[in-house]
Amino acid sequence: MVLGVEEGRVTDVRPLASHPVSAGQLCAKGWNAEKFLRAPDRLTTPLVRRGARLEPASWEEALGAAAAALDEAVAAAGADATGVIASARATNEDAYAAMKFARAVLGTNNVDHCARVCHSPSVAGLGRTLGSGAMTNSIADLEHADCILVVGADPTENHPIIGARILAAKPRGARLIVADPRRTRLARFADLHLRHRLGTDIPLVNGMLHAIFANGWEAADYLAARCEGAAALRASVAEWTPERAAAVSGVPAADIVRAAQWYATTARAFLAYGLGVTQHVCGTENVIALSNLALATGHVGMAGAGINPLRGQNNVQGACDMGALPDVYSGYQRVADAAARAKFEAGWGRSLPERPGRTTLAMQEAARTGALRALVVIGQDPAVTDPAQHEVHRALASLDALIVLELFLTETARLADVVLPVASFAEKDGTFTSTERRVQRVRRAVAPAPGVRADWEILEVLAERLQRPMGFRSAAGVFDEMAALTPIYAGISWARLEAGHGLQWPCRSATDPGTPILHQNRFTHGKGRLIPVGDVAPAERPDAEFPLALTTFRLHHVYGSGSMTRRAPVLERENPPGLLWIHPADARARHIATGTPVRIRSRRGEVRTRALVSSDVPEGTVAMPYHFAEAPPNLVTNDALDPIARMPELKVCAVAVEPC
Amino acid sequence: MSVVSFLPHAARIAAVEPESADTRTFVLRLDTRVAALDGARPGQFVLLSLLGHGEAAFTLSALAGPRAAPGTVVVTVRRVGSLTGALFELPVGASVGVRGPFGRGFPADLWDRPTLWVAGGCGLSALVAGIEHQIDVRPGDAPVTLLYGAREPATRIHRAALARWRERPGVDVVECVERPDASWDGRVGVLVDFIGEALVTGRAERAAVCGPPAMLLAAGRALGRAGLAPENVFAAVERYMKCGTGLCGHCYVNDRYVCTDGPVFSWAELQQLPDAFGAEHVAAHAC
Amino acid sequence: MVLAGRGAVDELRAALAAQRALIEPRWQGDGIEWVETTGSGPTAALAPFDWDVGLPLPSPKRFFFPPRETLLRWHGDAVEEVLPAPRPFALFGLRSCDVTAIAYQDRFFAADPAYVRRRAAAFLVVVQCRTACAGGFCVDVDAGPFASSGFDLALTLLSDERVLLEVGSAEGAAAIAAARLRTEPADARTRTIRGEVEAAARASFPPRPFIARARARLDAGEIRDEEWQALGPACLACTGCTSLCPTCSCFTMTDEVAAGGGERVRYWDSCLLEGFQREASGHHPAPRPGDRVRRFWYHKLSADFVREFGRVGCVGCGRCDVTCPGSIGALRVLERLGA
Repeated sequence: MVLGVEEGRVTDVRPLASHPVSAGQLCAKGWNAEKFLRAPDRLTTPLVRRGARLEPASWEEALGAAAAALDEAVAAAGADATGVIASARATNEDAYAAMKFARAVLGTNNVDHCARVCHSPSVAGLGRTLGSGAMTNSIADLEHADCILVVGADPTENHPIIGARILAAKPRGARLIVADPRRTRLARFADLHLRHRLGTDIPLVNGMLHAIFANGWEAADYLAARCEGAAALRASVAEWTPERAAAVSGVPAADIVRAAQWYATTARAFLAYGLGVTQHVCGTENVIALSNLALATGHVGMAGAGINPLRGQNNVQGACDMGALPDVYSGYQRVADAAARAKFEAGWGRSLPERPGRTTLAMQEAARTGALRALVVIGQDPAVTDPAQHEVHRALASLDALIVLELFLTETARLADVVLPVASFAEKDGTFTSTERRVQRVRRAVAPAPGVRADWEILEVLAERLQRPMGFRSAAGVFDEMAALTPIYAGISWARLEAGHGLQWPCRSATDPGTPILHQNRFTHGKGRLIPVGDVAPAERPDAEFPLALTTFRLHHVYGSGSMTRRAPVLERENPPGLLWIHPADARARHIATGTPVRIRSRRGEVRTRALVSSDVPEGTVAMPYHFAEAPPNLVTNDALDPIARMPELKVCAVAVEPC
Repeated sequence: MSVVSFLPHAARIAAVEPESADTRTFVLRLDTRVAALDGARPGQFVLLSLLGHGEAAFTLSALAGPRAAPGTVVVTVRRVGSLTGALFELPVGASVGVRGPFGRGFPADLWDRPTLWVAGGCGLSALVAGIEHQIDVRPGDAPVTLLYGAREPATRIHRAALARWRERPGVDVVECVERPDASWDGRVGVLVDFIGEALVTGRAERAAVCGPPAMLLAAGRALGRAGLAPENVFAAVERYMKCGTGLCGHCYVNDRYVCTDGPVFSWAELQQLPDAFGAEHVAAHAC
Repeated sequence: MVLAGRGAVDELRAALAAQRALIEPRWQGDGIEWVETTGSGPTAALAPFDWDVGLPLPSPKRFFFPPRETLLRWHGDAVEEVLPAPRPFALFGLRSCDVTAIAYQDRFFAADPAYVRRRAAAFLVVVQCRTACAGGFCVDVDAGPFASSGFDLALTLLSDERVLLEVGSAEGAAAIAAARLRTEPADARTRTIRGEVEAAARASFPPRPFIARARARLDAGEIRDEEWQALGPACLACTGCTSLCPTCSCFTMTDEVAAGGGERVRYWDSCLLEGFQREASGHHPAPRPGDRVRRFWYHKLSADFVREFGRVGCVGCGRCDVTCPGSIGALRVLERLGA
């Protein structure tokens, strides 16, 4: 996008017709991307808690207080009593600085970010099956796909440019299959809408695999040459006849078979998926199931195909790539691997902790028990976006010190002891990495308020206060240091990013043109692995006391908890008046109409809003957008975890709904 | 062509009169006389401005004359959102801005004809100034009939005016409610069902209507069936307003702007504007 | 109408740049933007004129009706109206579609104080299109390929050596004189050549009979509700079309509060947004996306607007087709409605 600047202020946003991905298009959030910059409540000075209130303070005082609090926590209870939650929206340079701060300054591997609650199962699942957790193909591959299968996502709402390419594929004859319990906008365009019950992704996919093997639709040569575990997979889905899959998932057997046939027998078949797949207690296994499907049909490693997790935040891919994760450094080099650790120790000139650290939710749990004393939260609002909100608040309140780096006084920032204002995307230089692994430059258009700096700069100053400077002098310097330690980024530099529209990693040398399609000759770890997965029921199902299933979703015009988008007038005006989507039959039974105030209760708590009666949700399931602090479904959602990725089951829990 | 100005005229709240639980009439005194506001016509509206809250449109519920001194602006406001909520919190003497008057009011040839005024709910506020004006300027005691339907007795507004009008010769005020309470001894039912009777009793040759869109459509049809020609039926159409000057687009209905071409339209004009009544009506009439 | 050598164009630009900000479509980075071409005085200081640069994606309406405009400013209770005091500027290199749109907006915004002031500061120079652009269809909505009015000057490149200058206003004539251009009157043969160039440009557009069919159906009231509702789901309400469309004019007003005061500002708005016409009571005149899509195309294509504006709202610039993620820009919609 291009930012128009007049007299030092950003006045508007426009698309770039020549950009290979956006091609002159933006979503509503993009068209309004600059509106929050001039919001009157933008933080411009640090805040320090004095008693019950947060009050303006100088940078001296605020940094001093933050440093003292971190020092104290380490001294009292060790380095692992501290942690850092990095931002998925800030630049790669900011994210790399955050993880280096945790490891080299604080001395802990307790660093994580919101990918934990969105695509950590993709990282874990595809990491096991393919060796790499990122989108295997590029967005441009949609222009060559003849079959597009989208599971648990509506790109027309939340990845509108990707949604646009899918919509454009239809007139040229591509077939669209959508698997989603809700009738989403994308489902309206589908040639086949598989409306499976919440939490039945594995039975559905296993049913498709059964049909594929039974009909000889699998890619036998591909499996023999490039994969291992085919026999075990075939045996494991023998019991998942389409009829059995239909009984469990609610999708007619004939549709399961048809979807399997279309997907399997189309050479260029593109599989995309989102949080409907990952945000489950079996999120990692759900991802593995989809990977099995893509591998069994030979759809990984060629154009127009692939398995493609749709990453949501503008730099969540980058935050993962930069190693803002408890068990890996940048480039997914494992903390537990002695050679990797030695390399970073040499690069940073510090000895580094060996044991993988805590995830975001584990850090919160540790805060509640007192094991975690001080937490730095950067550009994230877990008080709204994490499950079981009461528990989140309890965790944050239990800390000795909560230090928040933010643009606005979010719900999380309100709980902080020190708040440090940061520069926005329009006010700093750096890089972002998109969901298709494309590293691009983001360029400073206007100056931030006096004193306000980028995250990496603030962390450097804080590191100096803690007597352990990180040595960062410029954003480009941060990137160069990172690239020197990160093989998949090794060939990328700001100089190379100046011309053109970015580079897709892996890009291992200065002459490497980047990698639009992964796994073309071999998988990252050699052969693709097929791993049988069995049905895993949701942790909590509707019962007599809580008879409806609640799921969560996102709206086109709101981004996250809305700290930026809710400050754009026409976006805020789009908010629906009611936030509980409920099926007409369920509504009638409860004397609820559109607009009726309702109370939604679960074992975790309750939330109130107004109803919106719609047959877009199936009978027995209600749905709420997760964005709004005034009615956050996370007051009632379940924090039961996927044991592998530690992902909470945000997509299904049991609730009762009544008018109030 | 002269340009418009977005600068509001400064005024202060001179008095506040409660109408019902959520509706109040505000009498505003302009800091300086504004000739256009003194000469405002029935059916025109103003935009009230509260700095920090924006603006909202309200039909003038009284005009300079017997009941409102020159230099005052009188509007009846229902509390529904942030601006009206803030207005309700202001004390007498607080500053408010006024832009206007805007729009095309009731046609001049309405006043000397026996007229049936049909008001649904808070639509009465859009007709009050017109009713007062007609009662004052009609030839002799020519009949003026008001048919006013409220949801329930507690939501009735402009009660002082209703009582005053009942005292005037030739003026017939017919009320109905949908949900009566113990105190109500008047008509019960849907407003539109009483139109035929009210038309006959008042021997009306003209009608003027204001209310929710579905009611507007039903009333217009009923008046047509009862024999009034479309050129003799008028509706005060309501829309979300922003600029009041036919520029911002928020109030457009097909190729017209409610703020400049309306808010008063004849039924004949509305028949050419299918979007006036919402999508359900338009679906039956292709574009 | 006069003829001049090709070099006269740069002399004209230099002369204009000495008096005004010279703004031209130019490649900047990866996009064609409206760029203020710096340098005044000798011709050599200006970058060479690009006759073939394409249409910038942003339309020139932003120079008269900007995306954000402050209307009022207040401190405490003291309020003042804010009006722009624009520097004189020249838009050099407008195409017929855009200059037609400017004339449309001149009528629409005739009573708008900010628009009128900005417009008065502008000097418009058209470059007549000699060939069709990829997505444009000006010929099917009577907005090109040549502009016949609405400009101060219009330039046609007749051959590698000669440029035809059409004078559209007294200011245009004065600019030629002030630049001391060496010109000769255009003779009958030159006018014929101009006609041929225009005809060739017109002929270079692919035939699109569905456009006339769609417009006729629209004006006859033949388009059924289900056709609009079929288009509805493809509208994401991204607001791209209304932002780029050179004749779109809707805006919202909002108060932005700061310490001790604030500003009442207007921003571009979009009738495709659900909240655009939703009323406080919850009633909505256009509740379904298809209703809003219908309303938008009615405003752009209906002959009902000829009465007030002298033409339909669409000028065939093709920007909406580029920017629409749902593939329901003008040509796509006309194809479906005129099938």
